[in-house]
Parts: sequence; C-alpha cells; structure tokens
Amino acid sequence: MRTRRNYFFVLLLLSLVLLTPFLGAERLSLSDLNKFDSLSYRIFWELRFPRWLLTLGVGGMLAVLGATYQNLFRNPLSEPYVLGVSSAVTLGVVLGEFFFRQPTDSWGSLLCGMILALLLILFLTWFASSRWGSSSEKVILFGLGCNFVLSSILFLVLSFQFQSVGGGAMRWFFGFIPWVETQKAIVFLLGGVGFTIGIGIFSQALEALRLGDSVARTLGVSPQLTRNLFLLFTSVGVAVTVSVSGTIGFVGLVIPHLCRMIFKPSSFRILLPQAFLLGASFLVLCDGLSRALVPPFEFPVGVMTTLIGGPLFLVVLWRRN
Amino acid sequence: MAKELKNTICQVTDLRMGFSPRNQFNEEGWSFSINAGDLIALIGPNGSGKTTLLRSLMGESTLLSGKVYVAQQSHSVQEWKTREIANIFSYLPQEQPFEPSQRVDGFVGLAYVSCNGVLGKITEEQAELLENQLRLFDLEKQREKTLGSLSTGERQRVFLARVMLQPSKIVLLDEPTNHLDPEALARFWNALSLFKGDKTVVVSTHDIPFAKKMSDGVLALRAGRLLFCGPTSDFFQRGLINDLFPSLAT
Repeated sequence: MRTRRNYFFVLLLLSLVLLTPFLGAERLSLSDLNKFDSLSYRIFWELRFPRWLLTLGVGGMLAVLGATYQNLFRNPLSEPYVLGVSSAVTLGVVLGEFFFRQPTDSWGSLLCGMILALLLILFLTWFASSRWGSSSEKVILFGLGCNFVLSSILFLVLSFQFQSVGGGAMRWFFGFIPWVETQKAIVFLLGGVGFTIGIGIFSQALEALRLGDSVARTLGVSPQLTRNLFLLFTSVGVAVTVSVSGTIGFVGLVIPHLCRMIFKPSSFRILLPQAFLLGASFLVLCDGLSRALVPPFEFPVGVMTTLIGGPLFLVVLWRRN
Repeated sequence: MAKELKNTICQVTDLRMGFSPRNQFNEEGWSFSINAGDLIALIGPNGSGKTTLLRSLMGESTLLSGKVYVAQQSHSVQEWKTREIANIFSYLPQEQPFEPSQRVDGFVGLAYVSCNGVLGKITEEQAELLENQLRLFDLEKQREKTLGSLSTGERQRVFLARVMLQPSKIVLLDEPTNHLDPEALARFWNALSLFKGDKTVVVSTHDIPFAKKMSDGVLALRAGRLLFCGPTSDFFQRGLINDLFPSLAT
C-alpha cells in the first residue's frame, strides 16, 4: 500500500518536473521544437532547457548539503541557509564585486564567497568546541545570529549598489536561477551528482560522528579530522551553489525531512540520492511556478521556495510529533 | 593463588585527573588493575568521578599524571591512535546522541565500522552475528523501526546491542540502566552476564542490588577518592557500601 502510494507520488513528481520547461510567459508550439531557428526552438533549447538543468543541480545540491549539515551539527535544524553560511557566500560575492570589481559569475567572486564561508565555518566550529557551545541548539542559535548580522551587512552593501548600478542586485537576497549556457549547466549538474556520490562514499563516517565524538573515536573515526574535512568539502559545495543562485532558503531544511517522512531510508547513504532527486524536483517546480503564476512577471525562486517550504516545514513538524 | 592467575587487561598507575594542578579532580593518585573477562561495577555518588574515570580509561580525559596500560601495549592509552582505541574499546555514553530517523538495524550495524573502516561493508559473517544480536536483545520486531519511534527503554536496548556487538575487548558503559523499568533492568543485567569471560565490561551504575549479584569486581569512588577496588564479595562483606550510601544502611 505504502510503496504503491510512493510510486504514484514519484511518477506524478517526475511528470511535473518534465513539464516545467514548457511553462512560461511565451507559449511554445510543440511542432516547432525540432525546427532549427524557429522562435519556439530557441526559447526552449537556449533559454529554458539550460535553466531547467541548472535548477535541477542547484536544488539537488541544496538538499544534499542540508542533509549533511544536519548530521554534521547533530541538529535537525542545521542547514547552510539557517547557519548563515549561504549569507556569508553571498556577501563575499557581492563584496568582491563592490571592492575588487569581480563580475559575479567569475572565479574571483567564487573565491571571495568561499573565503567568507570558511571564515564563518571556522567561527562556528570554534564556538561549538568552546565551553559556550555545549549544546547543538546553542550552535544553531549562534549561526542564526551570524545569519542576521551578515544579512544586514549584505543589505547595507546592496543599498549602496542600488544607487550606482541599480536593479538585479536584490536577486542575491532572495535567490534566483540565472541564465547559463547549456554546457555550464550540464557541468554544474554533473558536479552536483559527483558531490553527492562523494558524500555517500564517506557516509558511514558521518553516521559515526552523529553518535558523539567519544563513540566516533571508539569506532575508529577521528572526530576532529573527519569533521574538519567534511566542513571544508561542504563549504566548497555551498560556495559554488550559492555563488550561482544566491541564498535560496528552505530547500536544505525541508527536503531531507520530507524524504525521511515519505521514503523512510534505511541509512544516510540511501537518503542522499533521494534528497538530491526530491530537492531537484522541488526547486524545478518552484521555478516553474514562479514563472507561470503571473506571466510575464517572474519572481525570484527563493520567494517561492519559502512560500511553499515554510508550510511544508510545519507539516513535517506536525507529523514528527 | 587463583586470583593472580587471571590476566590483567588494564593496569592503572597513579592516575590523577583534572585540567590543571589548581583544578584537579583527585589529589592522591589512583592505582588499580582490572582482570580480563570480568564484569566490573563502577559505583559511587553523583559527581564522584565515574564518567571522568571511564573516559580516562579510553584516553579521553586530560590527565595530570598517571598511566593507563591496556592489553599488554607498551605505551599508555593517552598516546594511542584512534585506530588502536577502536580495536580495544567500545563505549556507551550516559546520553547517547542519535539520529531519530535512523533505523534500528542500521544503527546496530554501525558497530562494525570499528573493524571494517568507514569505507567497508558488512560481511556475511558479520550480518549473521548482527541477526543473533538483534535476537539476543529482543529487537527482531523493531529492526525496521526508526530510533525516534521507540520507547526510551527499547532505544536503550538498541544502544546496548550496538556497543556489545562491536568486536572490542573492553566495553565501557556509563549508567546504561538509567531509564529502564524493573523488568528491563533484570533483562539488561542478564544480557550483560552473557558476555562474561568474553569481554571485560566496566559499567557505572546505581543499581546496587544487581551490582552485588552480578558483578565480579567493584570500583568504588567517593569525593575524589578511590574507596575500593577488588572482588565484589569483599566489598559487600566489609560493609563499604554503607560508607558510600549511608541511607542504604539498615
């Protein structure tokens, strides 16, 4: 019974995901899709298809990162967005543009974002290992505080920028899927899959770490080393993802819990691909909705994920009790 | 004497725990030894240092002085690598953190990470031992349930199944019976006694009656002092329990 319902759910999701590239301000004629140089062809293959691929990658990455953070920080609420790591990346990218004139899609801006993310992670881990950070709740609250401060600084910088550059900058605040070439989108998607496999290979270390540092040691997993390696690896993941899409909230928080609720994975290793796929589908659907709801106006996908993710989170909380 | 023929698995000399000379836990050094295969009850009032002692046995607490020699190794346990620790020790803390969505069989199976490594998979032989363990701890029906959906007592059984399954020589249990009802308590001690001779178990506990009945040896702590270390029968014959817990005296 349960499995049949799950099959139905997956099938529904899959067909919706496949349908979303057809949503949008411009109505496409299906017969023109394979006609080179027709308007429909160009809109579909040059605009919507690469965006669809990129959205899949971003959504999958966000969900996998969320699931990893939840194990790493031993708290169901931890996620790059909640802990302020996403904000740190965004601030780094925007500051890089502001001070060093690095275009926001360059390696230089990615580096700026990564440096700020690593600094925040260092700060968080220092706090977690100090005597004030004795419980994981305190670490979350501390990260939340960092998030608020970083967001305000970001807002400050952006409001300066509004006067000089104008427009566009707000997308960093809410998250937005940019247009990229198809090759780049494919590279990002494959990178996301590789990242997930990488985490999956070492997932038992993460599961051992979840049992506390002392127990992890008796399982042969050196807690400090393992945690630092995972933090470094995931920081790179967060930096790459957020420097593409800005801060998109709630995907990393809700999707892993939703996966556990629906699919009941037997281990973290099995949760990871499920989270990737559900996160990818979720973000693609949100992106489709943000385009289709009031065409030709498009609102940032981050607004959509929060609008849908917030209530979903409440449902998950409700069901957990 | 027969007692001395037993192998010593853990030899502790002049152990002084604490962060600095000003902030030290016990002023006089503790020295004692533990015989291989024994079930040792670690008893003492709250705050007497049971957890700190357990953690220093596996090289976790900071020491001001003292050596802990385990399993005929030439260097003290403080200098061991994580790998060496994992070969000898398994540990159950007083509050075991866990992921509520993790399944029972997956959790118990984590015991084998200690010998297979992080990248390893459970072998067929190990899978069979895992089955036996689930049966032994009466967890067959719960195997596909998540840890979050179990009652506290059931979850404690799962934790115990994991720590006892791990192929270690010494098992350190920190007040594992805190949340158990009387039935579960009896089953717990029975299960522990099954491992006698096979594994050396040091269990910190407040269940004095069970400790008296089931354990081979007693380590008694009071206010930073090692009150007693030796056979359980000696401890109770000499009435030392009344020094520890005066309200128990009748």
